[in-house]
Amino acid sequence: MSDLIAYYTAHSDMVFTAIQEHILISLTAVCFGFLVASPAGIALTKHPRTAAIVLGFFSAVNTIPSIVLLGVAMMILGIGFWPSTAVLFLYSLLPIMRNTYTGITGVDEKYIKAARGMGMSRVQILTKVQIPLALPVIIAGIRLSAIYIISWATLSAFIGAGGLGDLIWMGLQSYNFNLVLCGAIPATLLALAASGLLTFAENMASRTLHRGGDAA
Amino acid sequence: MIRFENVSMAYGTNEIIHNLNLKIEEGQLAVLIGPSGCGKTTTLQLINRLLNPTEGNIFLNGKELRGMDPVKLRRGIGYVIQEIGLFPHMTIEQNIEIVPKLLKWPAEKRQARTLELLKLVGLDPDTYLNRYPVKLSGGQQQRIGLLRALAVEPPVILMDEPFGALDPITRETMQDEIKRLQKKLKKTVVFVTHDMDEAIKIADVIILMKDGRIVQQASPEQLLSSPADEFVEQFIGKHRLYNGKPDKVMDIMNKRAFAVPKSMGIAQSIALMEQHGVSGILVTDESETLLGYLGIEEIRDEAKIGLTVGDLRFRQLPMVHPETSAQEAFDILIGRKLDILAVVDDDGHIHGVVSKTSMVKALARAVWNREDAHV
Repeated sequence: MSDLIAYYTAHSDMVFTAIQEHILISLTAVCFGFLVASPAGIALTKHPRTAAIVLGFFSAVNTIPSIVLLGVAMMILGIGFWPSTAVLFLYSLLPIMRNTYTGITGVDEKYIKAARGMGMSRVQILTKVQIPLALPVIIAGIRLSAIYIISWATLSAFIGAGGLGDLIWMGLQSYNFNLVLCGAIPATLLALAASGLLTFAENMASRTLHRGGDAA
Repeated sequence: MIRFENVSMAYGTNEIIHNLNLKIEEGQLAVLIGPSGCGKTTTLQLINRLLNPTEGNIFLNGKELRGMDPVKLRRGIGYVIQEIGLFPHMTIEQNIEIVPKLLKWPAEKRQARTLELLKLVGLDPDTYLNRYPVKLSGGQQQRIGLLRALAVEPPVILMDEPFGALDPITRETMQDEIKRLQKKLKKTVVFVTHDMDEAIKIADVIILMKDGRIVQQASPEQLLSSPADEFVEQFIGKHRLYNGKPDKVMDIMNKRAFAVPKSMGIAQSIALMEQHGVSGILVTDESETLLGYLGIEEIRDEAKIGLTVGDLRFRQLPMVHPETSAQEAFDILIGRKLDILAVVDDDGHIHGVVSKTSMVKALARAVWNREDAHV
């Protein structure tokens, strides 16, 4: 243990850089994933038959081992930050898209009926009623996605994207377990932190819906 | 105000509404009623274009609906549904102000209107404005649902079984409330229900539908007194008005006369009278032939423990036949200053009694059209 701390203190700069790289890769992948998957999930609610096909397709994508996809990405896009971000982006789509889709379609029909009857346009129904009511489920999708991406980002070291995976990989190759732990522990903590933060957001959103007390 | 001209409506090949012609006047509370599947809700939703007719025209204030933008149209028509549908992520205030906001009313005007509306139904703004719908009872929620529909003072309000999910007592209160508000605010209301009690209570005009057609459109009185056909008669059921006055003794007698066999003990008879709050009993023999009447006075004067009612001296009651006219029975009762007449058939069997109370009940039934009127 003291070994590890000594090792970490000596190499803190390196660990810190790796953490930054790791966050950058994961964040970029999840952000792009969100930007693409949530509108896609919303669009799919209008076409249930297409939805089954698209969601099925991405489920299949997510079963491909990430190491395989990384290999493919390397062949097509080369090495570095963007190829690995692209692969992680692909993985991030499914949870967000699926939860957006189920969240929106799960909104009780009575609210839609009331909204339509009062003269809300389709866009207004979506933004003022469906999205707010589906928000906890959508955030849960982002949380799942973030947890996956942060752990899988460790693999992107294989194609030279850097991040905490670099430390783990180098440590394994040189039998330096302190180095492995310097990569693995922050990666775990990052995933836990992201999960905690998004669970909090999810609870806030669902408390707004099922609020027991007054607004004040 | 609202006019349907040869309106038909079909889902695919399945025609729900057949060639409907309908007119609802301004300021009327029109109730659409009929068995489930009769097309009453469909008819309602044609008015705010949640559905569109496949044939025919619908006019609102003389203007054809087809030419109007459905979204704008709906903002000008109040809409209340059974499921209420208050938005759980909005406060009461935000819920009421939805349509005013859609119409871009300035904030002060919105707030003033919300306060006015809450006052209208006697809800305290300080308590309710910032509350969320979950904290409200079903009745309170539907009151807010009603206010939400009234917010921009639409001339027409559509209500789709609005009180169907409420408990009976709250439902009654809400019926009074909607009637009061409708008269006060002079709104045209189209109200869907399957509950005839509700329709009779609140309607200016009842539109009875069956299989996508109107069977009869009439005021509650007209509908009850002259139903158009057998279906209407059956549908209004127990509410049917007596045709003219109750005419026979059997129509007005109290069928639950307390008759006891002469072998019954005195103590038991007194207990029975006490339990039912009556001041006399009829005594019959084993074959239910009437022997006479025992009032509380006779029992008090002669009763001893161990005797049966058959041992006492009966008062003889004037008897009338079930087929005697009610008018005649009434004359006997009043003319001879009696409390009670026995209704007895040719075989001497007791059918009931006619008392002043049963007379009043019969009159009340005729006046209020209620089989179960209590006096």
